[in-house]
Amino acid sequence: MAPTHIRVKNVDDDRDGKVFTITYQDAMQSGILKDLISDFEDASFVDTIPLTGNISDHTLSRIISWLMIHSGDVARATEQVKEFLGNPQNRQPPTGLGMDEDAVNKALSSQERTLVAEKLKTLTPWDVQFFEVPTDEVFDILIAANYLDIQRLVNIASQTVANMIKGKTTEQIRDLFGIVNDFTPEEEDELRRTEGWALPHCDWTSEQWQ
Amino acid sequence: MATISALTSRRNQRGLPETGHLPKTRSRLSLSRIKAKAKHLVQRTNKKHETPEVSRISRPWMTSTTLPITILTSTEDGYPQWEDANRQNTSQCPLYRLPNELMVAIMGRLELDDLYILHTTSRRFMELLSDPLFAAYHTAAKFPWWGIDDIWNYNIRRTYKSWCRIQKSWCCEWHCAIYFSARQKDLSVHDDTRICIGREGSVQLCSRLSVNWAELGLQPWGHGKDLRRCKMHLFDLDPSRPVTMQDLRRHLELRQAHPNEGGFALCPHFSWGDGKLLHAFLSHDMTGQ
Repeated sequence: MAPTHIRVKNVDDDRDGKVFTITYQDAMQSGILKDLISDFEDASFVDTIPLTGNISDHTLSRIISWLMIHSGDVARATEQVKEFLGNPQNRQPPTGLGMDEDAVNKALSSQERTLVAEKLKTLTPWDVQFFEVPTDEVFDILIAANYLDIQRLVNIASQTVANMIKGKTTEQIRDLFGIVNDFTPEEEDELRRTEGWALPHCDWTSEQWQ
Repeated sequence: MATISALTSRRNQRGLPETGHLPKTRSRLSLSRIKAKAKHLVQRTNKKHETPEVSRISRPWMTSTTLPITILTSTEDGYPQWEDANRQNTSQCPLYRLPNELMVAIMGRLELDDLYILHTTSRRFMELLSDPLFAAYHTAAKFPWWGIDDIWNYNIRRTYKSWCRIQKSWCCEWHCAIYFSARQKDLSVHDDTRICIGREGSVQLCSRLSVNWAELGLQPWGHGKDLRRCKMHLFDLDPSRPVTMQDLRRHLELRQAHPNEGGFALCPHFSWGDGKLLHAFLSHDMTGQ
């Protein structure tokens, strides 16, 4: 029998962090928690799961709040898609005529899967607000989500970082992330020579323009 | 670990059912075996995220919590400036905290233009982007239906240059978006008159003539697309004495007979019908009289 609530403890090298209580359903979204729970279910007496990912308490609490909001997402999306596909007009390809039952079911399930995946990709305003935090915190969340193996959160966070980079100049990116120019003089020369024309692996520059 | 070493009796304390319904193998688990397994699990999870000791020794600045400031700021100890900058990035830049697989996941969401900009910001991204494996990954993300062989061929034969087949240029090559000016980007993709920035400008050959790339191909003294191959009339003249019209005529005839010989150059747009005397000038000095 699956427990209804899981207690998660943030364990660092030398100190014990806060203890968080999350529901079983929320915890199942995280790959590592899922593994740990199924491992500890054999032992069936462990009441607190230790996490040693070097995650700060603040980040973990934020991630747990994300998990709470999104715990029912998959079920909800599947339900909506099933309802949508209940109407034969929405099916692609249209069923019937010369298709046996297995083929029809196969096509339907694959369509359902893609539709659910698309539904899960859309960002809610809550998600957008979730990432309206300082840059450092976004990276904390991204790294922690990667450790906890929450694929959807990783996707959203990396998309957020990608949006930060998009459409900026070199100097703007350096300012935003605090990158210092660490090219050797030779590399810089090469960059300046190829600027505006070449990308790495671009063979035609050396042939025609030198 | 205090949290793990709880006893089986807790199960009863919490009001959970007895383990009688479990398969037989479970009941044979002794307390010590359970403890050992739990310990092993914790060790395994700890081990997964531990950096090996060797890398800490070779790269002392990687341990950001106990980073000695002297290493960061000293330039007198023989480290070149860029290495200090590299260390500063490693310790301070949030992007450097990400492992490579996350970095690649982020870069996979960027377009080619942004990738190019990112590649000019710092060394790490240049190295990541120069990796042919990343090229393969990026291509695979863009064209998921391609097989391994397709990706391999695509990356070997025509690399970054032709990834973004956004717009077609006059030179009948595929360029990515940064090669087009804003005015040209507004034109339709199927517009034949659309040209890339390499073809958009014009080249001033002398004070009287400037040509664009399209005209350059049509000139009798220039052919092909490449300015480098463009040929001008050259005259073997003596720069020490004035040039008469007779000299010019003679040299023009000579030039037509032996078109490939080098020598001193004369702008083909000089008019010699006014009877003035001309001075010869060197080919690299196009401002001559």
